Amino acid sequence: MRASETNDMTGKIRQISRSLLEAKEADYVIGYELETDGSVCPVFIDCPEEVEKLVWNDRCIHNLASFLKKTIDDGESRVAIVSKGCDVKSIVALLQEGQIVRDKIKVLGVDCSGQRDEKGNLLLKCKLCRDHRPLLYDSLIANERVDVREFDVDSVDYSEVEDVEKMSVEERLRFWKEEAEKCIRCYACREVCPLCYCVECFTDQNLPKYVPSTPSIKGNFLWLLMRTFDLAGRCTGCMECDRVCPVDIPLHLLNRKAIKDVATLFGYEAGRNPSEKPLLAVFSEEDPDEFIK
Amino acid sequence: MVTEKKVIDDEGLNQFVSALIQHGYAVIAPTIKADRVFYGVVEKGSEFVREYSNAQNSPKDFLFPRMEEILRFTDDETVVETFPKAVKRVFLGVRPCDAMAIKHLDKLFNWDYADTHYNKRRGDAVLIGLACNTPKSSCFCTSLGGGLGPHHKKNVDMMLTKLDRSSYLIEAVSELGEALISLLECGVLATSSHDEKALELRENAEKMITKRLNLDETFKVMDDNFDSAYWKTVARKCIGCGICTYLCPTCHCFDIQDEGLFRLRFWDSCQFALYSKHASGHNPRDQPHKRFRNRVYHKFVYFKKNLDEALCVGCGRCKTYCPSKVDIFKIVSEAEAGISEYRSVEIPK
Amino acid sequence: MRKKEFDSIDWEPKIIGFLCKWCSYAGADLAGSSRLIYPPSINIIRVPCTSRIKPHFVVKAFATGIDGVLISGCHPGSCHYVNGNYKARRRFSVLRRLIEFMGIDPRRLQMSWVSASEGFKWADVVRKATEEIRQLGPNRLFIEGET
Repeated sequence: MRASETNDMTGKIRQISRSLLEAKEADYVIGYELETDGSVCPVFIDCPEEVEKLVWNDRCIHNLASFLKKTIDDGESRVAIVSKGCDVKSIVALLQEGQIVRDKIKVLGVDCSGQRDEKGNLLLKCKLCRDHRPLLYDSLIANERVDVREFDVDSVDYSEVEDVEKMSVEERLRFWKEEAEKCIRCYACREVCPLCYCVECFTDQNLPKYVPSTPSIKGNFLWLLMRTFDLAGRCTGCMECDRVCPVDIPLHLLNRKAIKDVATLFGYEAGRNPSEKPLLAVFSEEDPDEFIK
Repeated sequence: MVTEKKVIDDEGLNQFVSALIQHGYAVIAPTIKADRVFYGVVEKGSEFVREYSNAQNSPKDFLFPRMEEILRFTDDETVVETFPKAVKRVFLGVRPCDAMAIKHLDKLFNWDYADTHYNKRRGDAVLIGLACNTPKSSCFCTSLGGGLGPHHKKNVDMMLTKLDRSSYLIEAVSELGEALISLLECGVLATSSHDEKALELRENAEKMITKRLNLDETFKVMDDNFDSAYWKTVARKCIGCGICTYLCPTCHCFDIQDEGLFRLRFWDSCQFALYSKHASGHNPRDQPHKRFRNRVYHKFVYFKKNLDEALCVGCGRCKTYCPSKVDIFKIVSEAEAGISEYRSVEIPK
Repeated sequence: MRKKEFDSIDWEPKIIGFLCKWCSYAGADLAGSSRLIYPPSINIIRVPCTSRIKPHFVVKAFATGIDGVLISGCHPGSCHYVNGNYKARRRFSVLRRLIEFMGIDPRRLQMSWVSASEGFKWADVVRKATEEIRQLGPNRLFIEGET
């Protein structure tokens, strides 16, 4: 991104945030601020004087929608949130499930041409992204240099998932057991996910104990499997889980497999339309059933 | 104690590692695994990575593993306590911060009771330090007391200092180190110019650490302001995962659960709500900021009260791997200013 | 499950059946009162409706060492709760693909529609499931000592 673009957009974000806070239309703004090492991290802005902390550039990786989970139990806070196209899909998914109230959030949608890691490489999720412009927003921070065309749904790339599907059953089991061995059950994947908002996670349940809490291969394997299942049809592919995993487990393979399956089986994609009902809460009489005897 | 210092090259270091392995030591050193540096068992010297800031994990993983069996129920309905086998170990390439962390863990696991499992794993494990010549911007070891710094030797048995591209000053610090240095077959005796170079590197490294804080002042400010709204504000971007606690070289909390025939001990984190939940359902740390505050206080207040030291060693792992880049140094060093500023501001939920 | 139980040549498939109370459980009962003969490989857990089945039950069964899981409910359109079986159908088509992706043979998870009057069908379903799972062999996913 050119400096002129980032400065321009940063200016607009600050201006909109300032007016929202001054007019008391938002209690606080969730955005991005610069870290001392050149990266970017989330920031909460409570008063107009602090909006100078807000920035926008191509290191704004975090999905700030996960902080909206904090508003679930409190129906009063009004939050303004800086959101990229991928983040807005999470917001839409939360709206689909009735977890947040639309008129309590102000979405500052930002046109995005991709985010980069500390080495300057474009993130995988950005290579696969079709939502350069957020599909929902209250204010739009536009960027004419960003390609905002509607992308072809059929051009979605699942090649990484397909590489695993091509393995034999035994190879897949060995692959996932090796990955499971690395897991330390830090639950960063769960906490960073905007859609993991259960008051009591299934893995913390005791009677019955579905999944061991211990970081054994068995416990970790089941944790990976069942968290993926619980997100199937709800995950929007923001890949934050993958980013935060401290031991580099390829969580994106699991969640994208679920995304691929629900698209193939039911033609469904989470996070596209706030009034669409969640996938597993509904059904169709024509659902595939060739596996049923 | 006569400590003869020697200077060896990379090949000499490789030979030393082989000699250690031949003498029955399991050598644990930083190695490359999938592009990242992790402490792991090495089979030969060339696997030991010498250019790195710090490994993602710490020696804690081997002394207090992620999961271990402490008891098992056998077929004939008896209960057998399980203990780790005594293994001769060398931790090679340990940064002074991690070495200090091991010292803290030694105290913690022997404070109110002697933790047999930890002690068996700790055994006579030899610590060979690797002095830090280029600390990262997230490091702040020099502020944590006990003389800790990038070249601090007190907590290791032997110390390696990389003098230039391929020569290392190696010296024995403790009796254990003295015994092992005899395994070095090569190398030349260090001269005063080597010593001067090492001193120069040390001074440079110390200068590079710009993050400083006054432990005693910080302790007092935090101890007096437990209820400040400051803690609510700084905890907002914390998502409540366990990365900081699990990667921290001094965090040591665990849970014990029975699974089938085994009783297992495994890492637990004060950042999880379940950690402090009582059987009655009451949870004294029911809100995220209370759990967050607990971690900061444990490192900088409680440990200081009990053992007169900070528990943090300034390694910076918590910040580097935090999903939200929460910076404990920033929070603690700005506590005084932050607390007075937030005294009057109403912080929204 | 302990290792020695698999290595025995007397291994028989162990299947857990989650049967809906209104249709499949009654159908299985009918198979029983009609004295139909089918393998004793299945242990039945009665649920009010197939939609009661949390996928975690299935996964826990596999984790404990069960060789196969059979879910059986009312035919589409006949669910006592109107549409529970439709939702279960969706849920388990997703779960099946996910367990396959992670290396658990999806043929270990089977689903059938058996009505209250289909005693013969029930016996047939269990017979076929037992054979298929016998071909797949014992569940060696998580063996104690091999973790």
